[in-house]
Amino acid sequence: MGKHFSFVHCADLHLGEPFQGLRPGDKGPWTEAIGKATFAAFEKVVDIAVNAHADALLITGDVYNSSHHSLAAQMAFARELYRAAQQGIQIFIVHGNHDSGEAWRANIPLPPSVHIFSSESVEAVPLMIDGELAATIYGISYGTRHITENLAVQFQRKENDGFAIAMLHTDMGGEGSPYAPCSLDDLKRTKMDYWALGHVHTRKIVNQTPYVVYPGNTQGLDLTEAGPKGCYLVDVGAYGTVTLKFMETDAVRWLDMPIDISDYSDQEALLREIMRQRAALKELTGRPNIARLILRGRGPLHRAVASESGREFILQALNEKEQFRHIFTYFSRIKDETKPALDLKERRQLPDVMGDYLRAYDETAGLPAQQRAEQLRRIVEEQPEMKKWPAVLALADDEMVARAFERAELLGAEWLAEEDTDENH
Amino acid sequence: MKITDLQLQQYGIYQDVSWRPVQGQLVVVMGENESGKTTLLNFIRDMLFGYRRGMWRGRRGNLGFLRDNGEAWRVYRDEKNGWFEDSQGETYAEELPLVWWHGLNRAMYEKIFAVGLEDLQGTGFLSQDDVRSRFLMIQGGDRLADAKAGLSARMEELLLPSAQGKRKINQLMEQQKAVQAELDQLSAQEETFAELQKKRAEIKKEIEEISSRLVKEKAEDKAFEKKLGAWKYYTRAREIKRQLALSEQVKLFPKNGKEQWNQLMSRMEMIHDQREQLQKKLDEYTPKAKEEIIPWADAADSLERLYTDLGQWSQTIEDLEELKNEKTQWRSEFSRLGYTLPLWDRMISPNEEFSAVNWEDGRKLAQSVTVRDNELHFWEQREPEVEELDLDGEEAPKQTEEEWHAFEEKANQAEALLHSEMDLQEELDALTQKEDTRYTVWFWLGIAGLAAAVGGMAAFYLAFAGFAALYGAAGGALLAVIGFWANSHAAHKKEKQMEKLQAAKEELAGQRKTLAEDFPIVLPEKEEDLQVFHNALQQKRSEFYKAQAQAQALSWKMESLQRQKNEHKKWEEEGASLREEKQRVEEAWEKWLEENHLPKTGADSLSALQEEWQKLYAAQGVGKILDVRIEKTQEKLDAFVRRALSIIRASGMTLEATPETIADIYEENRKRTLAWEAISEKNRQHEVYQKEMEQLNAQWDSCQKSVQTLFALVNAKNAEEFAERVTAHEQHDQLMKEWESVRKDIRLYAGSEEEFSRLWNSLETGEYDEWMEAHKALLDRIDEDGARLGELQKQQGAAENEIYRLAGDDRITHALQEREEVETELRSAVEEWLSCMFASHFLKQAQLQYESGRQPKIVKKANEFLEAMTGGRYQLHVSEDGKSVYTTDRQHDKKDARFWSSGTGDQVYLALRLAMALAFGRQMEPLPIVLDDIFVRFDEGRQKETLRFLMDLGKEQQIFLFTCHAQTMRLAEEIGKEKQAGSFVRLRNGKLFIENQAG
Repeated sequence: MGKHFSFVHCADLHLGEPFQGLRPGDKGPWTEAIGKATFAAFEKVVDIAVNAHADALLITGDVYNSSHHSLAAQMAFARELYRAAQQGIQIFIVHGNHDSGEAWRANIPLPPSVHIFSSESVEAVPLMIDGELAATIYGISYGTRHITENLAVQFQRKENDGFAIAMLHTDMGGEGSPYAPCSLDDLKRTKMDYWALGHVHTRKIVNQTPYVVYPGNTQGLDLTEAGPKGCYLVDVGAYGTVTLKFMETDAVRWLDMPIDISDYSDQEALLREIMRQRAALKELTGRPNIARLILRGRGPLHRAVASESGREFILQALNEKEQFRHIFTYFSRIKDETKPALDLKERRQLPDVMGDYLRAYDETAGLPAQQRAEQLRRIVEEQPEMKKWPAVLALADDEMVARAFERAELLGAEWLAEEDTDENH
Repeated sequence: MKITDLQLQQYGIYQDVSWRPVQGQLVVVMGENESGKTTLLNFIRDMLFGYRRGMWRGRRGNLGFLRDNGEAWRVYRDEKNGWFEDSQGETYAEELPLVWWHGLNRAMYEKIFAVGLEDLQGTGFLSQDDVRSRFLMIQGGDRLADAKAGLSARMEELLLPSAQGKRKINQLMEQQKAVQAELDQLSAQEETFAELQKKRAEIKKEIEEISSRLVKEKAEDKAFEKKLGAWKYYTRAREIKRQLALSEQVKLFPKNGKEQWNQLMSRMEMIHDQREQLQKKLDEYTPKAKEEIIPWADAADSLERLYTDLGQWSQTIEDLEELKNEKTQWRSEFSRLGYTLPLWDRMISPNEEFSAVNWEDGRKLAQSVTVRDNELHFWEQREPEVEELDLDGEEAPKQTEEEWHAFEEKANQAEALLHSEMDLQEELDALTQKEDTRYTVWFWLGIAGLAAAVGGMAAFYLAFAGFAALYGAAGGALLAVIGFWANSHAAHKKEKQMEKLQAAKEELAGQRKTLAEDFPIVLPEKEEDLQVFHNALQQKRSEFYKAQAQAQALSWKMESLQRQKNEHKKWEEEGASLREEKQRVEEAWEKWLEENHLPKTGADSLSALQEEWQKLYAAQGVGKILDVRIEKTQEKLDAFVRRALSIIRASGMTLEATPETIADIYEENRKRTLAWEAISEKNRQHEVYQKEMEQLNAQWDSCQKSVQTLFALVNAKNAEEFAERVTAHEQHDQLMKEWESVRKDIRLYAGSEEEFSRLWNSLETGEYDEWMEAHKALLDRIDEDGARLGELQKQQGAAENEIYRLAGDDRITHALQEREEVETELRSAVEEWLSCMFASHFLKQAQLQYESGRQPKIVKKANEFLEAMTGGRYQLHVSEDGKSVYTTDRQHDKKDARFWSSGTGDQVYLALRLAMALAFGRQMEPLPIVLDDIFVRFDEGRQKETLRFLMDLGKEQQIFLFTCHAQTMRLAEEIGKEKQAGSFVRLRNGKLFIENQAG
């Protein structure tokens, strides 16, 4: 019979990491909230550990993004660790790709109860509670930003370890990945009781015997990281029964708000509906939100939504004054999934100028991917503006060029259709 | 597709109207305004594409049509409901045209298949370059241009190719750069933090080292202090010992030697002090010359005088100023004065000189002028009258008496001639009336003679009466001859007489004619004329005598006139001389005026002139007086200034010569004089001091001599030695005592005898200076370490502060967020720019496609149409760049669109539109073409040509030609008859009347 204990498992704190996909806008309380979200999330992690009287706090990599050289992030981290240490919580850390060993340049002294695993080899550290060995914690840090070797194979539990926990920042299943790739089998082979993983921002319990857990990041950083974010509070019973409880820590929540425009004849009505849903959303999440508005369906508002300036107007109308609220819902962008009145497939058949346009577009679109990319790149590079502004050209990566090309199909067609728009429809 | 059947159940003004348009013929529909033409046009479109938004109410109808593939369809539109029905009766709710024709909608249909008046823009439309190129891209070319322009405008909003660009992307790039720069700076924070911690540790270590060293150094310092403290006693002991040695050298010394010395010393000291004090006083002050204090001392008197005169001077300045003002005032008044004087009435320059005028001369001259004027006046009054002569009437015919007599003579001659003539005429008439006596007695005598002759002959021959008979016969014959001759003579006498008379008459007539030639009145030709002639003659005569009387009167008149003239001439001469005189006087007057600078004035205004002049003269006098006063005042002022300047020069200052300056200088002078008084007092004192000094020096020298005497007594070189030796000598016992006392003190300080011996020994052998040096070095070290310690503690504090500051600095978090946001925006803008750019790119491709592909085909077809429409007069071509069209005629003359007539332009346009519609229809499905009042700018010939062409085209392509002109309809019907083609429909009040149709 072992010792009953509990620990908090978190990863990918990304302290001080800016939110992506936001537009420069008016400053206000939300600027503050957004700026502090990652720190606030980690504070919540420590609060959870303290309030739950957890024995240990496990942090599996990517505490902050070393390429930002943020001292503020390192300071905030240290501050919270001191707070946890004061409550007698032992802290175990492995570095990940974003905060590899070489990256901690500020040399901030950490409390003595913090153990940072070496990047040389897998270390085993006993977790002692009341003088008794409760568990043995294994771990290895990233020494450099990229680790191509499979670090999991270096782990192996020993007989008298008690409850064996392994900490690793890994891209599990990502064969050939530069982030210490491994497979589930590799992990299983080590006979650990709990694999505390980090790196993947979406939380998932990959396996239950043994537990292989990605807690996801503690705070969503962009639209792709929508929904609740947090850490796991893990309770290990005397007989090794494991209970996982997900604890929300995100200070600002990212989410999508889909709306069908077909029911609304004017922008006013649409805005009213969105505002109504926003109010409900705040009730639901109980915290500030950053939302992406997804507008769908066919309707008279399609044209407004399809234009850059139209979307801009809607965003402005929605965000106006919202930045002064403490619990706000900020609409960061509008995804236009509304359907145009144009049937591009049909229009391709017509011997008119739009047909000409679409067929000219198709000549490029129909090329094999590689050739098309090259041609698009060539067109881009030929532009005098691009010659004049190489910095802008540098921004235009292949992905962006491809997206722009896709958008151009409808954009050009809509410009040409301006006068064709049939009043009957 | 072809429309086969229209059912207008309820549509505008149409109620249950049905119409089956003829197939394979041009359908011409004529409807005047309000007849329902437009409504019908709309019906076709509404049926095919549905009612326009909100326009469905109360509209019902259906339309049958045949598609190209032969399928028959019917579309129903019953208000909001609409459906399509195929020939099997199956219905479809969706808008089938959209499906059939790839989304072709009403707007597009109207663009392609409907040609209306508003589309026909004429050549004016085509002559604009940009419009023409758009026109050639008619099937969306304008939209292409709009789209391209719109896209490039958007692109420019986002990014400008020029470096001056301040567009969204450019701005974002700058923002990004700025925030990146901030981040670069902030990213150094973590290393700074690490360095600071390292530094803090190093400082701490050094502080510890220095602190411990200081403790040691302070202990060492204490040891030194003891040794150095004993040194004071030791040096005292050494001194006593030395003095004792000195005392032993003094053998003989007078008893009062010291007293003498002291007296001498105190005296010398006193002298020294006095001298010092005196020297100090002497040094304190250097005597000064009066010129140094008051440079203008020489000019003091003149300054004093000038100062006294200052009031006067200031007054003079004021006076001058006032005078100048007065002068200015006077100038303006004087200038104006001219206007107040009616005779001048002009601006008078103050510089104009009004010298004294000898008015006596003026008066004399004026008087002369007046006298002359009067004389002239009286002379004018005296003008002798010269009568006027009406010579016209009186001078008319002037016949001299001789002439008159000649005339009268001629008249008499004429009358005589007439009378002669009349006599001759009478004779002639008498002769004429006298019977012609052909057979006078003479004749009968002749006969008788003849008969006698014949009887005589007969008697001779017959009667052989012999020779008597013969002689009788011969006598009878002679008698007969004489009788006959006489008869003939008598018978021809009248004739001859008449001839003679006639000749005489003619001669007379000739004479009369000659007379009449230069005779003023008509000469009588007949007796009847005589009375007239006499009357005329009488009249002439009375005229002559009247003229004679008139001439007489005239000659008298002329005589008196001559007299008058002579008198007048005399008067004129007198006048001339008077005028001359007057002119001379006036000239003299004017000269006098001029000489005296007086305005041109009549002599009669002399008094006024004098009066005004006196005003002026008086005014000028005032001016002159002012000038004199100004001059005098100025002179006075100059004198003051000269005086002032000489003083200022003396003062060596560069100042303006004004009373204020002089007052200042005076004030300064006063101050300096006071100062000088003090200084001269000091100078006096200084001299006294110098004298005192000389006395003291003499005293000092005498004292020195006494001192030297005393020195000699104790063998001393100087006062110190003297004093030392005398004192040592005197205090020998005392010194001995002190020596013992000092040694005792050191023994006590040492604490023990051993220590004393050691200390004494070390004092005797040791080097105080070395100790001092070592001690000083030690103290320096202590100070240095202390200072370093302080510095380090400060550094430690600063490092800690900085660490604390850095720990709390979260700017980087905000900057990172900002960079992320700017980059997001930037990427989004660049992406949008790229989208626009790609769209533009493909729009260009589409344009090329059109220009190289469809356009030439369309132009070719349009050319065929144009040729057909114009009977081969024109051909249509497109320029090489595809951007413009032109026509050529039969002579191959090229004509640019700018030079087309509006009719030709419309024909070209129509040809192009039809070609396009057909091209479009061919690629999709031909739809009915609707032409609405396209003939507005066509003359009759063109209308006919075009109608012929449309009739032909209408056989294969369904064409509805709508018109509101009866004339067009008439022409269409005419052509229809000619071509056996066409269908003609008239619209009236929502009813269709099918007139006639071919086939």
